[in-house]
Amino acid sequence: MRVQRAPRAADQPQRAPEGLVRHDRAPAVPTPAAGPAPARSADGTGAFSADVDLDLTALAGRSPEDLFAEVVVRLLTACHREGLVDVGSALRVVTPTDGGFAGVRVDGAVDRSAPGLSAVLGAPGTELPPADAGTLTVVDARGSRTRAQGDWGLGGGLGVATLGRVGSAVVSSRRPAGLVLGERLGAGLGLTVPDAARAAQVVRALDAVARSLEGPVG
Amino acid sequence: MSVESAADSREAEGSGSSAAGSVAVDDVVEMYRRMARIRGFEQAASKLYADTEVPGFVHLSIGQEATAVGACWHLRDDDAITSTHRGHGHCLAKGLDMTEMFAELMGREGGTCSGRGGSMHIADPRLGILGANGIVGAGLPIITGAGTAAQIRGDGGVAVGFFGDGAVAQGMFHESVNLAAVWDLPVVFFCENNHYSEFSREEDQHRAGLALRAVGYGVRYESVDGNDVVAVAELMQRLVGELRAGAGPVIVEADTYRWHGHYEGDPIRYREAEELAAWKLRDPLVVARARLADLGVDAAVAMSIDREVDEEVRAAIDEARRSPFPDPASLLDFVWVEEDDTPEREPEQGEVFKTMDAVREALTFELEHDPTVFVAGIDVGRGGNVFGLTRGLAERFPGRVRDTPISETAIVGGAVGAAMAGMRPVVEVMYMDFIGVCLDALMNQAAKLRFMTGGKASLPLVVRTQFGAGRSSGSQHSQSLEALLAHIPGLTVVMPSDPVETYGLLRSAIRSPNPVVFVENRLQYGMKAPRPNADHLIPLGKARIVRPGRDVTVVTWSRMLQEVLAAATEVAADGIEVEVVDLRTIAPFDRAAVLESLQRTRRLLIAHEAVMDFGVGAEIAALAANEGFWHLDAPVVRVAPQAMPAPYSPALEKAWLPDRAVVADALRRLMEVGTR
Ligand SMILES: Cc1ncc(C[n+]2csc(CCOP(=O)(O)OP(=O)(O)O)c2C)c(N)n1
Ligand SMILES: [Mg+2]
Repeated sequence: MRVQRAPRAADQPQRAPEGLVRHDRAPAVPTPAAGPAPARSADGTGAFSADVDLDLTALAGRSPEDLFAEVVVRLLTACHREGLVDVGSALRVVTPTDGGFAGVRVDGAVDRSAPGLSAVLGAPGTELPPADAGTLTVVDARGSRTRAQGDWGLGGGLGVATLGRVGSAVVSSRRPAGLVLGERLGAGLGLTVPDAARAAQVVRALDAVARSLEGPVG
Repeated sequence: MSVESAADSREAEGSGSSAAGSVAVDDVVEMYRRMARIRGFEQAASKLYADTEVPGFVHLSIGQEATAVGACWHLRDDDAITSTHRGHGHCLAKGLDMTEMFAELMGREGGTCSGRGGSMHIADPRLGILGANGIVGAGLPIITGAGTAAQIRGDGGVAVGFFGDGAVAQGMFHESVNLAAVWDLPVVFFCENNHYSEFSREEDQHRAGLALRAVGYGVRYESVDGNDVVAVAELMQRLVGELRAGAGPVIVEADTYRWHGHYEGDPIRYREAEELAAWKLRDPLVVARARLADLGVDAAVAMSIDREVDEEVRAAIDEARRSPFPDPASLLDFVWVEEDDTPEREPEQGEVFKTMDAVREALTFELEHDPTVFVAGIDVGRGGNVFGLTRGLAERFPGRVRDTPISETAIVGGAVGAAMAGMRPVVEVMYMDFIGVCLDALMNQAAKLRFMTGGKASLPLVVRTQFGAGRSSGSQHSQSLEALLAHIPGLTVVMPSDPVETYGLLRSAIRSPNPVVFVENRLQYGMKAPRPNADHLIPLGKARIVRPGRDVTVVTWSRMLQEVLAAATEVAADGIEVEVVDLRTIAPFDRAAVLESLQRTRRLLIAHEAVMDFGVGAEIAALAANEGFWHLDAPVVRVAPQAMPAPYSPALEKAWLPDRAVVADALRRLMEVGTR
């Protein structure tokens, strides 16, 4: 026998399940179109930035640390596929602090699983680790209301990605079964690379991260 | 030397006698040491309490050390004792580790019971310590059960139940001594008469002494100087020997006195200082030192023991302090034993049998396959139960299917003790309405002892009972009281709905490591179905979908299932497809099954035979409102009798008890709510 317990006060009220079908007569609200929005045109000179609105609903049950690790692993995989990072690349994860940035450096990050990365990131440093040309920096800006854009003045390596604030919104859309009401967990993910010639790879990588999070996540 | 080996060597030796006759000098020295350890432990506990290092209640037995040590002197590790709220001495005398006891008092993970019990609930069944107890008198039914276990095993085991003079006024005392007398159980009911019950003197508690009462119960009585450890040990040597050889119970009354207040912090306004001073002259340690002097032992021996004990106590406290407090993440540990069940299989379809056969056959199967299973209850033996459920079992399993006096507290409390002592008792409470007279055994003992002992105690017991309204049985023989029991964490409450379910669930209940109340509906004893294969088992805690449907979920259990199924067939003619969920295990209940069904049908009706208010239906409705809120297309409906005693007159009872027509009506109205 396994005991199924009622949720504690801290776990209530419950979230609406994803894909909830309700037979309400409220007008359909179109879902905002997803896809990376280039922030600057790619003329082949200077840096290039783009950001995408991630749908994190499938990760709603994860702890904040696991959710972050999951997104970073997907970003690394996508960047690796697009040639933006390679197996030997290092990862630098930093958080804005009062005095600047603090964080950790992880070598060989492309091979790590989300739980593995989450474990490493569990012990954040107090200083800004150095970056070399083979380092991708990820700014954990979930605690801030700023947009997930720009290189935060941390340019120099392979690029700077930013995961912005995670927020939830009630959204509705029409499906064959009727109007679908659901709660959507979202966050912005931005990526800036020093060389605008790689704009297409950046857009594809961000697109792949967004797509990988649609539907059920294992 | 362990307590057990000390007991063995004493039984073998019997030489090197003391002045009193049969106790060896070395034994008196060791008895002195054990009493000094109790004294040292409790004096330190008093200080730790004053310093707030011990957070909860503490009742000290300083002045009573000789009863604990003397009474346990001749016991083996596998002999059982039960203790009281004043139990440190008993536990130390029976061999419990001092460091762990300090840690327990401090509420630390390294405590005897991992900090889950505290001073009043120290226990370790592995040493035969079936627990101190916060309920006055509650140890007595438990020790009766331990005595039953020893008798059934036939291993010469003895059970000693400590109690105070105040506990004599408890009904539990009466039921336990009487049951032990009727069954000739090897139990010593050991009264530590310290002349006070809380703030009240003994003479204000009863008019007849224990000697007179013993005559009334037809059991032997012995009195002893409770401050003379040698006298107590000598008496116990004789009694324990007789009990091991098959003698029945005995009441021992030991005259003694507690020096401290009833509890630490007690201002003690109810007795004179002179009284205490007089008793201090007969300090058990002083008496023992005099014994040692008589035997020619140098006074330096006791003094060096005192020093060693001081050192041991200090070291034990230091060590206990190093133990961490329990991790809040382990909060829910030890409430239920949780393990995965083998998945349920489709039963084979044999010849037709009835629910009453299902009960008898499940009991028979388990009695046959497990020698620790025994059955007890009013008229379940020779009479074969008022419904004939246990007919023939007493002859087939001699000594394991037992008639009891009308003593529900001793029946259920005895099951608790027998379970703690390694048996799997299946006891019967004739009518569910009678749960009220033995609720303590369920609520404070069976349900909590595993938790309070940090998982050290197992409580694999079943209380079978039955109910059923609709036949003019009146307000005291009709009640469906599952909500009362389901509200008690630690209990498993099962209510089968047909013969096959009864068979599979009862067998699982008997095999369960948790205490289970198994509630049959007597109107269903004649119900027929094809007999399942003999090894059919149904896991506890799992609901089943009896009838799948698209439009509305009905959650129900026990006999009401049959009414719901009839109603579902009726409304199917109107195009309403009802999904019927039989809860089967009421507590802990299968939340996921209810939610999954609700998710599909989006409408919920709950039907039960218990009165509506504060019932199990309310818990299920709360599940729907909290976790199923997003799925609901209509308000949750409960179909249940209104909150009032079951009426006797058929005209009134019919108006009160919902049937299939009421369920069908409610279903139709529920389907009219909202758009579909
Ligand atoms: C059922 C119950 N009623 C009342 C109490 C409160 N209470 C705790 S100890 C006690 C007195 C018990 O006296 P006695 O049995 O003589 O034991 P002593 O305290 O003298 O060792 C009382 C009334 C209780 N714990 N349980
Ligand atoms: Mg007393």
